Amino acid sequence: MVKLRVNGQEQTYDGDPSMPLLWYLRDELGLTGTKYGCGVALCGACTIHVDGEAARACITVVKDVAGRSVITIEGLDPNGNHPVQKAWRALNVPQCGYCQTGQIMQAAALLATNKNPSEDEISSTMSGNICRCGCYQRITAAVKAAATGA
Amino acid sequence: MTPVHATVENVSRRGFLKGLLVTGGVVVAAEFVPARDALAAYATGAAKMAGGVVSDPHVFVSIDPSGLVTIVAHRAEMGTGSRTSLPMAIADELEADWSRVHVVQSPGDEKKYGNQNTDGSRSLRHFIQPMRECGAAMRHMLETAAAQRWNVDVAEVQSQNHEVIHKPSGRKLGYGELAAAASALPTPPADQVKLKDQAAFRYLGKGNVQIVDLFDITTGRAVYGIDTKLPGMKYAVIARPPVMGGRLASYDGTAAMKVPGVEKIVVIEGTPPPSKFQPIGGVAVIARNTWGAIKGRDALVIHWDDGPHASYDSAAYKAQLEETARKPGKVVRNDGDTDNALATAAKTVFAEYYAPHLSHAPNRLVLRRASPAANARHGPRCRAQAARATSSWTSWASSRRM
Repeated sequence: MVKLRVNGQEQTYDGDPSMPLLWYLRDELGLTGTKYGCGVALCGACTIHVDGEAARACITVVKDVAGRSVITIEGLDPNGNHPVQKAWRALNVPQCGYCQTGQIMQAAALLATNKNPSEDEISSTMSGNICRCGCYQRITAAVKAAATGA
Repeated sequence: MTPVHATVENVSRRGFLKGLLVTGGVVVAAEFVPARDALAAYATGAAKMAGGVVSDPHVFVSIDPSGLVTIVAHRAEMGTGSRTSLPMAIADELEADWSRVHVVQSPGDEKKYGNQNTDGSRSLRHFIQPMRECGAAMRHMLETAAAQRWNVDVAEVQSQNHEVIHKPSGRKLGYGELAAAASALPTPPADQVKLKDQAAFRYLGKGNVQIVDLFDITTGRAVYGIDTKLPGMKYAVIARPPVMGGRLASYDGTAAMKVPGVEKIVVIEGTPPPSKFQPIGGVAVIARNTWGAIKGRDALVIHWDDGPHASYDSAAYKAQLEETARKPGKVVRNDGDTDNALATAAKTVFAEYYAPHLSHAPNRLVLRRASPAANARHGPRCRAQAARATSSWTSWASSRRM
């Protein structure tokens, strides 16, 4: 039996504790905003927050987050209006959008600890989040915009 | 003359695309820019495909009494924005106010909606004109309904931004007020429908419309193929031959069946290469959830027959390509005097470019956006494409002198 908090709600899970958090979130809780990309922490599509820090849900197993707080894209802001989400829309960042929830969660975690990151800091933090559409310039611009409130 | 040797190991897709940009652009321009005259009698390739072309507004457009215009997107969104662009073409011709337009996804029904085979970068090429005709036909129907209501000649009325205006008197009727009467009218034949002049476009080519899924994408609500959930749905994960052209020799599923959640193991016979759009073979593990299916797949004991490519060695193949590329090529075009230019150049650069084996768009598997029904229709195809990807390994090496 694993107890954890997901988007502020207490959850208990008595299935396979070695199940990746990704599948627990998607299949058990129906939180499909967290995406399966590569399954081996190479692409960042499944990025979520564990106790406020960015983590890859595909290699984080359920027992690793026992007693901890998990935030997914669905819980980032109750109205979907986190500064990063607003900047993403203002700058039309997504194309297909599949990787974007992971990108947004990674960017939000960065800005939570670094209010005004340099372009290099943005690039290095975001470099583990791959976008097949190639929206990188807009991603970087949106992180900056979210940081400055521009 | 100082020779400069450069070897570029190009392993990133982004780098690869950079290299392709120049030639790619030329090819696209040469192939797809239609002559202006051609647009008048626009014959789309979709006419010859399953379902053909449908442009009837009774199929694609509905307007409720409040004036909310609902437009059906019948192609699957794959990230190009066609789920926004095609409804936008209808809205523009319809003189609809985009802020009062709602886009809904159609189910898979080619008899009703026309061809829905969303690939080959064809959605806009094949359907922008039919969708314009659709919107224009609906506009005519609204104008006809207004003229009938006012008992005036239809030539005296004009649609403008979600309402129809009687030009001589300035009277106006909103689309919502005309919806019921307009939708009861027959669809005017295409040759009686006048398309807008391009200068009158509100949205097409203006860059003032955001993709309809923007909010949902940024909040995780956008539904992709992999997010589809149907009642009683099971999850399958497939073990594929590790070598292209390989096939199953035998397997033991005893351990896999013991994995919690695993319900069934199914052998997929597959299609011998070139499998094209047909699935390649493998062993599918069906389970109650994704994780069970993955663990079940991992627990399979499989003996593969590696087939004709069993001895394929990418390093040896690369060496072979290098050897071939370094040989003098077959001259297909000879402009100027290259040999002399090279011999007398102040500086020559010798470079070899490498790109990795490239799998053709495997993420179409999960990317395709569609309603469950459309997904069921296209899903197997997506998988076939991904499967085919591994059979169409591309590899190239080239050398040139500058």
